[in-house]
Amino acid sequence: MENKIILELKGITKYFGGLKANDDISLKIFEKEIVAIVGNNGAGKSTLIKIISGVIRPSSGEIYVDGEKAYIRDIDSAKKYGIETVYQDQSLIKKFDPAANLFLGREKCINNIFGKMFKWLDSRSMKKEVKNLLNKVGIQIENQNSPVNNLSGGQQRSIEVGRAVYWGGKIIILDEPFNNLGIEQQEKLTILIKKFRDQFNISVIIISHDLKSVFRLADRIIVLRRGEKMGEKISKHTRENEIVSLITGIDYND
Amino acid sequence: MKKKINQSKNDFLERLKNSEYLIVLILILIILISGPIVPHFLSINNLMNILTRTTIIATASIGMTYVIITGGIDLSVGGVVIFCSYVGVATLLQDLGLNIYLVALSMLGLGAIIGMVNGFSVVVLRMPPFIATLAMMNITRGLSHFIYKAQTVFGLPRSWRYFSSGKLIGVPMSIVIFLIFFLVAYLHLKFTASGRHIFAVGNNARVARLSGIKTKKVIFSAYVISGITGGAVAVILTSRIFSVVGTLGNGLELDVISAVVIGGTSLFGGVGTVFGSLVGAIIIETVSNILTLSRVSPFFVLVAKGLVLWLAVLLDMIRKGYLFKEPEG
Repeated sequence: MENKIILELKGITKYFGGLKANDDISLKIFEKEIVAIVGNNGAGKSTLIKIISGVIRPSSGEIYVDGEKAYIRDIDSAKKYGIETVYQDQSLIKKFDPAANLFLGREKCINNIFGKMFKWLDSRSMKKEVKNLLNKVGIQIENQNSPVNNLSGGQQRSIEVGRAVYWGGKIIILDEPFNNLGIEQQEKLTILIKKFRDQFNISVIIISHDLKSVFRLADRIIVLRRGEKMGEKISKHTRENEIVSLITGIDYND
Repeated sequence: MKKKINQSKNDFLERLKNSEYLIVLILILIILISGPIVPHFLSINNLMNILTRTTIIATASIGMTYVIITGGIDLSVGGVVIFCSYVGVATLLQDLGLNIYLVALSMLGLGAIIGMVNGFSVVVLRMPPFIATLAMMNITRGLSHFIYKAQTVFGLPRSWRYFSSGKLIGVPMSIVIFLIFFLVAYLHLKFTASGRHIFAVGNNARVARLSGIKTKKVIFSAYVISGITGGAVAVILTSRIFSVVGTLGNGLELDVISAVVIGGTSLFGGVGTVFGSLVGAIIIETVSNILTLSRVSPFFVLVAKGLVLWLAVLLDMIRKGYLFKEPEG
């Protein structure tokens, strides 16, 4: 684990009317770290994530990216700081091929006057980029022209995460990535995320209910309860019981 | 090995089902069957007839294809045609005596403006496209009748003939106009980023928006394009019939939407080609022509057209796997 702090939250508080969704939350995320934020429903995980990714703004508190104060006003400005979210419900266009998805909204155009004037797609170049990107995490796609719908779940996830990383994502947020996945797929996803982390030096924040997957994937676990940060533990130095205790507030320890 | 052969057979059927070749095949079948049976079907005169009528539907179907790909619909096309025809021909051409190119361009511009109002209703006011464009159809048609009293406008300057029978390298201008729109649309949708965005928005507007695509702009532009092609049809049609009549464009939306759906563009959005719409237009006109030549009542022709559309939608739903499905939630 690197020592460089890539993201820091100081005193993040968020009110929704009278409801305090986040209560004075401070945390640090280090470079190349995979951190899981866990907690029950209503603990404030989604709210916190939305604040980091620019979907909503905190009532008070500060965010620092790479040591510098960050002004995250919206999703676009969050992206400029390298914060990207991969959503739980698919973020791909099923009928489009991998390259079209990777470059969705940011299509590569042919590099001449003609190409630039009409935004003529440079499909060959885009397909090559996809191939290079996915090869780095060990994913092969035989048919580049096939709609992503025809690809395996793992391949689809690799494109989703790959897209976030490709466009300068340094802090990738995964919102319930293990939902609706079978055990084998969860294993594969875990391996995939770690490969992305190793190859691209990113930090990953995941929200998950699935403690088993969290222990398998995350370096560190941060627990929220009723809007407050209850604690953080290094995965290797803690057990499920302890985390559950922090989540529920009931002592499960022997 | 057996698995691989089955796989490739499935792939082939799958691609055939979804490809444009299927409709070309159907068209060829229709022609082959009708050729020997229907009197005068294959005469040069008749084929030219089909061609000229097809140009009208095909041109409007280009804009309609854009709108339907984005998941919308444009019922106002008939109204656009009559409105642009009256304003362009009666006022700009006859009364004001403007130059024909200026008039034609103005008619395109007028179509674009109507398209903008449609786009505004759908994108900004968030009206369902069906209602917004239906209302527009009535408004434009009604205005035409109100202002111009549904009178037949004739005695147009000879020069206006240019846009139907005028020739460019031996090709009639009506077809040239169509081809220009067709080529531009084809290249745009297939090879450019903004063309791809049309499909993205039609497939999944949410994902498109999250990817930074300006969905509102994309949808808005589709309606403007539909308005422009409507204006182009007004030019071609008034040039062809060399007049403006109160019934101009009646029922055009049925033919145009049928052509687009038959051509493989899904009413659910996200897929479609202008080539398919062209073949769809040819099929609609050919079927209509065959029935007319067979001395079938014009009312039955309407039944037949409705039937063809019904079957096309059925095929669309089968392709998408929506047939017999319960709605979500």
